[in-house]
Amino acid sequence: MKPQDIIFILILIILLYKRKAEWFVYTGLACLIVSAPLFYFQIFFTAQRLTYYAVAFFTIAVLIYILKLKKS
Amino acid sequence: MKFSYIKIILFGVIILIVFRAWFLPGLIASGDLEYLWNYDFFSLHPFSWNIKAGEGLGVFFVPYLWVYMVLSIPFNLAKLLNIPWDTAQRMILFYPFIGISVFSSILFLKKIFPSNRFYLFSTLIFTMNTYILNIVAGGQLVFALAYALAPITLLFAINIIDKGRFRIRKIIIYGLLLSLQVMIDIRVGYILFVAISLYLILDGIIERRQVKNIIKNSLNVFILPCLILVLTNAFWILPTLIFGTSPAGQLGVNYPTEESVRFFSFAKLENTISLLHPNWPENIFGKAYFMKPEFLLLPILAYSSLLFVSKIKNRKSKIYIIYFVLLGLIGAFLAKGANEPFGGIYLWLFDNFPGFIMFRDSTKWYALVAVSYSILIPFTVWKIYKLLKSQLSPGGELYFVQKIQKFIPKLFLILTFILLIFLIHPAFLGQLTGSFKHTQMPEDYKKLEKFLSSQNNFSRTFWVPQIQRFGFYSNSNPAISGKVFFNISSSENFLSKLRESQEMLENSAVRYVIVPYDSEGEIFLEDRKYNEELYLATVKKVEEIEWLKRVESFGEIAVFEVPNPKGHFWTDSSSLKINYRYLEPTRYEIDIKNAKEDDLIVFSESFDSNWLAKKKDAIGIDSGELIQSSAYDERFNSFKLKSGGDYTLEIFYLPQKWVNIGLFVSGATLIISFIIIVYTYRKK
Repeated sequence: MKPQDIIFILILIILLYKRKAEWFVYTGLACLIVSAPLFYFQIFFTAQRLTYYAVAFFTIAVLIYILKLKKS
Repeated sequence: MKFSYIKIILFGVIILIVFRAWFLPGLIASGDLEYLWNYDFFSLHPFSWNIKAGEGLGVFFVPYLWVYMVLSIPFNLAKLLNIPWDTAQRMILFYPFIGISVFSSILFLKKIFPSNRFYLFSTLIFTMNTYILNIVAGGQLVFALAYALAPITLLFAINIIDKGRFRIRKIIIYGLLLSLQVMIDIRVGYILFVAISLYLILDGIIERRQVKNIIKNSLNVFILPCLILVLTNAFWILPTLIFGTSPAGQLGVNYPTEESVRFFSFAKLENTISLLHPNWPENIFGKAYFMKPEFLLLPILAYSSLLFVSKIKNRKSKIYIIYFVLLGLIGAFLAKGANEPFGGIYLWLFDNFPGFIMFRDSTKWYALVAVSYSILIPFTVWKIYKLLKSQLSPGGELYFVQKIQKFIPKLFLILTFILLIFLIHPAFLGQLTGSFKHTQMPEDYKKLEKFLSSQNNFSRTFWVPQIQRFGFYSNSNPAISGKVFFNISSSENFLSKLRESQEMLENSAVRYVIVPYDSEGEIFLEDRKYNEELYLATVKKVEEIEWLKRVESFGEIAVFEVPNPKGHFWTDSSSLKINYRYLEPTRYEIDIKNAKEDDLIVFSESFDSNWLAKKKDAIGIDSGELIQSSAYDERFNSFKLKSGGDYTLEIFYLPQKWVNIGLFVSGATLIISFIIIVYTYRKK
């Protein structure tokens, strides 16, 4: 497991504890924003990981929204 | 002038600039877009056997018939009106792609979010993203047509699920659209099934529908429309079920391995989520570029739409946003194929999930991302624009402050528009290749066409190593690509095999061996670049084959004659005389004289045991005697005569009977569907 993955898991745990969909979306967007300069400077490994994390965050956000909508 | 007119003119100008090659005179022939000398290929009546396909030796054509029905009618109309090929392909493929994709993306946004009028963004994303531009550049116009139609079909499905009521007219129209979608490209039909299933499941979960309602919705959106789909496509589904390979198998037959899926997984997750084709802009097969970070602005805009979900009051709109986000994520995940993360899932689906074998090229799933972003991005832009407008409502005392506050929302729109244009700037700068460039046909190919089409008898041409894009072929002059015929890729082995193959070529009715002039730089390649040396060496080696005689000068096209080519039907018997008539690609008549029992008649088409011979007596009545084809030289069909004397033999291809029955079913379904649509419309 790489340091990036550990940071991702830590953030994920915090966000799962909070269970706020918007926070997942903001974090996913932040991952994409941070990955852009990394791709530009050809730091591919971290940049690619950040896009994976972004997808994971968006997916969890969607699941939370679905649960919320189902309950409402 | 109203602002909306300016937008329409602006959009028209963008279309004209990006697709300028399609509107200017000039020949377009590249990638999968073949040049056809005549419209023979598009017979109005579908035939289960194609003489020209199967590398010039004929092939069971049913698994390909789905697309040819859609193309046959317009191309036959073009034939009737004497429209030349380059004009016909523009009118039947290019312009409909632009028209349908623009119309469908506008309609899609209009119906999903009626208050959102940012159609320009929707159309820009759907019609001019790097994926679809590369697809049309590569000449995959038929796939592009199916892609263009997809939003309309999806819209119908969403509408039927939302209403939840049984409305026969809507279901029939949707069923016919689905049929058309499958007829144009079965893969887009499959992708749509995935998209519709996702909406059905999501709607069932969020709205907590009862099982009976989910079943009712499935009936409306799948079972009844699929019945219409199967019946309207009966002309190819029926013979496929009875005789042969499914289209899924046909599309996957040459590449069913996981290894090939890995090889064709060019796109990475960062590409697919950014709606960036990995080969953009050069579109050279297999040449993937480094990630272009500016494209990440697309997913940022698209997924920002989630931030507005809580603020939307309309429940249906919330479901739409969640649905399209899921669609985009699933599309991006599948389009990356076997690449990380979790590439194994795609490989498992390819091996185990029915129909997934059609997706060796995983990039086809980009279509879902495009559909998703064509809704999500205009939605985000619309919401941010409204937010800026409400937050910056002119309230300052100074005139210029008021002006600036009023201008900022518009500035945001302008900047987003410039960004979308910038992303596809190679299209504006004329850097795209393939169908975005004109080409010229060398005069020598026109001379060759005149020469070959003037030959009265059936004969084949054998192209070394393969046919060139402008090489002539027809029903009476099919072309064989040498490399496929010998199944050899090395040019050295290929030429030595050719030297030993005089008898095989004569038996195959090959009259001319041709080394093409590679005007497009697609055949004699070294490191993906044209190499003149390879061409010259090939000509020299073919010239050295003693039994071939160079017959005519066609400039740089080297044409050689084979000494004693046999006909389409031939026999080794010295006493037997045969004279055949071509009736249609699946039916021939042979007059037989002086036949002896066990005489052999060879039919030089690829062997297929469904070719049968039926004896007719002097007045043409069937004797009931059937002879089944047996393999000759492991390649051709042959019929061993059961009786001697003079008579007529009818040779026919059995699957055609089922194509004709299926065609009747398809026609009847279409007529009944139209009658119901008109009747229910008038009643309404």
